[in-house]
Amino acid sequence: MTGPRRTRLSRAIGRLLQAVLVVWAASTATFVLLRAAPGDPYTTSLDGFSVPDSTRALWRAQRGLDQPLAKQYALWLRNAARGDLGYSTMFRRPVRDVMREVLPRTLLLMGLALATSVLCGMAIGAWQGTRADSTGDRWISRLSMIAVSLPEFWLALLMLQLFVQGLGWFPATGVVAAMHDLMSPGEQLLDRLRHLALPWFTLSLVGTAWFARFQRTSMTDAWREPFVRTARAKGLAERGVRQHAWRTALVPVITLFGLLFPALLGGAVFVERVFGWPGMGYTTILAVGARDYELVAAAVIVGSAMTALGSLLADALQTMADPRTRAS
Amino acid sequence: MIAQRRVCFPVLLTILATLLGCGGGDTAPRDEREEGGTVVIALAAEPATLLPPLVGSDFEQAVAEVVYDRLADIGSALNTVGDAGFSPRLASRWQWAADSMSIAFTVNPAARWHDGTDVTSADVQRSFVLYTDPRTESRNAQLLSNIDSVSTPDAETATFWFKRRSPQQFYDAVHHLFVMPAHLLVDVDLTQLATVPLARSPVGTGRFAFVSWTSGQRIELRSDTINYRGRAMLDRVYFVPTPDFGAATVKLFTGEADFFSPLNRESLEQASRTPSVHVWSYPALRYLHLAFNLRDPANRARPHPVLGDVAVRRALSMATNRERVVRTVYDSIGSVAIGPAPRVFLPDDSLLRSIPYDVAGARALLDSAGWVVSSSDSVRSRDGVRLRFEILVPSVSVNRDRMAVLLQDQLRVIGAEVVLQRLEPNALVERTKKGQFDAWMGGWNTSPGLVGLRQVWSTRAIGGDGDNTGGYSNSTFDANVDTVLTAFDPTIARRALKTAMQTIIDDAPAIWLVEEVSPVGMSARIDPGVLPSTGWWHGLPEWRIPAALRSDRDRAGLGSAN
Repeated sequence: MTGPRRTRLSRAIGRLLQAVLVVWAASTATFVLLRAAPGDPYTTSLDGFSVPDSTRALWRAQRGLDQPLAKQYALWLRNAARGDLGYSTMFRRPVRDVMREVLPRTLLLMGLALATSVLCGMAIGAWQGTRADSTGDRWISRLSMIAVSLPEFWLALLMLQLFVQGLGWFPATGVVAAMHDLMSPGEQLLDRLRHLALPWFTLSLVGTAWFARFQRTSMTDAWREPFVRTARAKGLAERGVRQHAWRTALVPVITLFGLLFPALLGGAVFVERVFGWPGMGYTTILAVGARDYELVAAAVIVGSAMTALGSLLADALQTMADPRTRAS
Repeated sequence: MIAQRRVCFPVLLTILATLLGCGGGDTAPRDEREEGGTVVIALAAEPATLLPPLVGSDFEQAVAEVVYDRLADIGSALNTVGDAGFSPRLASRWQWAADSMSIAFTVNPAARWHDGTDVTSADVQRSFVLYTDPRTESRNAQLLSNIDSVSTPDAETATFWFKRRSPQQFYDAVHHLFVMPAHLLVDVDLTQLATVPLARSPVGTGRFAFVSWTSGQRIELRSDTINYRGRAMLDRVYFVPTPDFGAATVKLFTGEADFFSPLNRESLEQASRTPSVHVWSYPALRYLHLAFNLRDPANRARPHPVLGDVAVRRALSMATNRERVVRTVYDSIGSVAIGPAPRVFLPDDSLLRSIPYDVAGARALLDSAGWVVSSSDSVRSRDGVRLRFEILVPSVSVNRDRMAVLLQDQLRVIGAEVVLQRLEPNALVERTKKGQFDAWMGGWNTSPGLVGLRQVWSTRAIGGDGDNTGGYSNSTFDANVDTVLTAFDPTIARRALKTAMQTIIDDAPAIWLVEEVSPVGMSARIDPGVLPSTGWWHGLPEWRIPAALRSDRDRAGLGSAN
């Protein structure tokens, strides 16, 4: 193995280890902090009559919650390493089963939103960058500024009021209609798309605005670089010039890609709640309130792993896009 | 390229139009049957389980209690003494023992589980075990604590044996126990009861049978057309979890859902402007109060330095304009509470004297008790102790927060300083259970039988497993509550209830604020008959949709999914 290749490999392994460390640290912190918070899965509910302390003690013992914290942690870590994520006291099912249902829905929503944000944002930003300070650029900048300032939950409620209650174009909540099973295959597909449309659009809008703003700034800078002037002077077609400039302007946007991953996950929490999209984000919030320790820990593992992977992916793309990174 | 665009544009338009519109024509044949129709119910959350011993919340009960049956149902008068007013359900009849220490229920011979198996007395016995064994994590075990055991002399007879005679022993046996199929619960590890398949695919005997549960999306029930009590009037019911309140009301007002409960004050206004939605309401069997801690949080052996004084508590009650608080926060969906039991359980609430709203009287009472305003402080004090206390408010309840703010304002007028502390529910429950509070915006879900009076306000409920976190203690109240819960003579029980209620109202261990009403929004095409106060879902099998009002959704019939 040659020197530079070995260096790249050892760097990749280092980054991977860092990612594992991040996941471990996040889940461990969650494990400790949630147990330090008041209450546990068997605390009396607000307004409900108490279950005898002796009965609750038995329930805690059945779930190992009466053990010292260090022992609970060791057991949880050992099981998690084996892929056993424990039991959800809120859903009264193995955590694995709950995650198997909610995670794909969040990944679908986030994946579509991320792809839309990247593609639309970069296209809009690149267009703006080549026409900096034009009327169109100024208008789009204003609109994107508004979009990035909007909290997702507010935007989601606005969409609900406008497109569901006002215009009646889309269904309010859920993944499919109640009577989905009675529809023909074609109707079922349309039903899924109609339910997906608003959460997808809401989550994509903010991401698109972020990408567009980043892409515009970097494209504007690249557009003023001497190599652009040189390329033009050498007679390169305008399309070719734009391609060269865009590639240079890509690096900061790829960095944003890594950062947007956790942001989208956070936004998904609100969007999932408002649109009744039964995904991981909203489930996690419910689990925190119910002190569902093992479900929260699993969600944090998955969430931090996704964030770390996003960061790794951004690194890899950056290396591919920028030869200087490869060389260093 | 241009030609390609011409082709693409209409295609895109068609897809968009289909996506947006999607409405099919009214092509289904007219349905003239008396039975029929489909109802979509928006639930505030998704159930975690449908096993009756484990269900706790309204949204879980709403599904499970439609699929399963009790042995007998309580009557509309909510009588809990003896068996008066109860209607046979899974038990076709019952026989009291001469000494009243046991009741033999005969299982209806026509009753079948939804999988076709006969219902037997073994099902009743097994259900009792699952409800009462502490390993199952059933929160209802306490309610069955007066039942010693259930024996099965034959396949049709289930005999309940009681530990002691009680006016409510029949109610205890039938109201808190839904019968489950023993043949599907053989060799179950009781510590893992929640994970049995039956928890998510219930097989019951109710007039609706379970069809499917798509996690996070919907639960489908269908009318059991061969049910021993006759089929449900509707063909099918979908329960759709809709956790966001705003989205749930949008679903209701756009017709995507046919039912949502409970509406709030703001959505009632919108409902009144929406002809396709009717509002129904029923008493929520729940009251809210500002509960005082009568013991010192720093030393429970001592009375609270401020709120341990009955004159202070009465003065705080007198200074509270409860009518204004309730109207401001609840408008028409609440009424001023009388005491620690909703009106529906009180034979004649006009005989009870509430502490009147009288600000001048409150000031005079505090003056006479030695709580005076000094020239340098607008807050009253006595022997160096200021008339100051903290109210814990659950951060999840908007209405309680609003009421707390109004109380803070009203009590300032008589020289009381009130500090609001908003806490997440777990933290609040932990503080109150430990007695680490001055006052809290609390509430209690009550049930017929009034056992809550003893569980929350009696002396024996102080500390340990009881819920008397404020430490209220009055022997007159205790004795009369005991009489209420043990007297077989309704006249004696009523008299004792009046005395107990008047005693606790006069002692003012809380400011009784509001009895909530549950308004429900329902599609105008549904005729629900009467909504039972024990829960709207108990009337679901009787809901009707007249043939003339049926929509495409209703005409799907009982056909299975493709």
